[in-house]
Amino acid sequence: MILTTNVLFLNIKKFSNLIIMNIKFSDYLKGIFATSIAALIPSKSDATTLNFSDLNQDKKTSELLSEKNNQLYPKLLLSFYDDDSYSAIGHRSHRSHSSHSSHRSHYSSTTNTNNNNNTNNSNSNIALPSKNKSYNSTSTVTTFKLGDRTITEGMKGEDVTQMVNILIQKGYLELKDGQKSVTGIYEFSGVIVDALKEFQKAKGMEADGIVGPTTVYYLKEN
Amino acid sequence: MISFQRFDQNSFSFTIDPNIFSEKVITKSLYNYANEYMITWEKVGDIFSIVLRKKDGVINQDLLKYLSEKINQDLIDYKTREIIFAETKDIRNILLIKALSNNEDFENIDLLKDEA
Repeated sequence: MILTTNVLFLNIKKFSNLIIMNIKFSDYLKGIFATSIAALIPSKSDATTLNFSDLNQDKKTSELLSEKNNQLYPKLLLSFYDDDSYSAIGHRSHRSHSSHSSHRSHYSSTTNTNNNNNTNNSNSNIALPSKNKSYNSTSTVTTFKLGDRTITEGMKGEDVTQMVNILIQKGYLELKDGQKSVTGIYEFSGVIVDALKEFQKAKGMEADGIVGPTTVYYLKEN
Repeated sequence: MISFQRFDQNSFSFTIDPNIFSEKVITKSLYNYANEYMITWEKVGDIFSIVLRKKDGVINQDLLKYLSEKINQDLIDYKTREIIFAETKDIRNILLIKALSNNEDFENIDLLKDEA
């Protein structure tokens, strides 16, 4: 149940709007100045055409304006709830919203391209992963000991290796080269599952191939 | 340490004070046993009474001892995780906001205050 909602509004476009406004104001001033000069100079019959776009903006300013107009600046509403969950809602800003002081109404129009402002669009909620989402290739490796989790077919880890070693010691698995233990990370599949089922049968358990607390107990039992 | 009592040959029970371990912690701890045991949970007064019945086979004395130690360990383990989770909530939220903010400024808006 959601008790309170705090929304952190990422004001991504605010700063860029200020830059654009300053540049346009500068354009107006330059235009007024040019018009005044033209009025003072006596007119000739062959008047030349003055390109204001070249006069008003230097190259860097033009690039900046062009970049700002072409780029989309999605505002992001992050809602954190008391149950430690959160949602992120994308929002494309437009002029009609510039005068709003309250952002409550923005929920109804987020990413709704049909201009149907009163329709809630549940698809606008972006489901974020709860953990281990990373943009680089590094990942956290969790080390499990036998009994820390229930092992089912397909899982891999040090606890599987530990189980393999116990099954070897108890005679349910044999290594081709006659070795008595293995190292590294093993996956719980194939002959290991078959060996465990045999072990479970021998202990009077259901041979389901799942390593739960009771199976761990019998595995650890001398 | 929580004391365990044998119910019959394939089940045992124990009680937990919810002031010590929350319902969340108990649920997470017992989830691991749901595959092999039928878990019955009821509230007697202010105390949780939990019964674990083995789906097949019997629970011998050694297994009962092992399970009691394991469940006690799991309860403490999940309680510690819950404490760490609560203590690091703010820093996790800050990191998330910074990760998504693209180095821009952000402001805090209280919607409930806005509504009032």
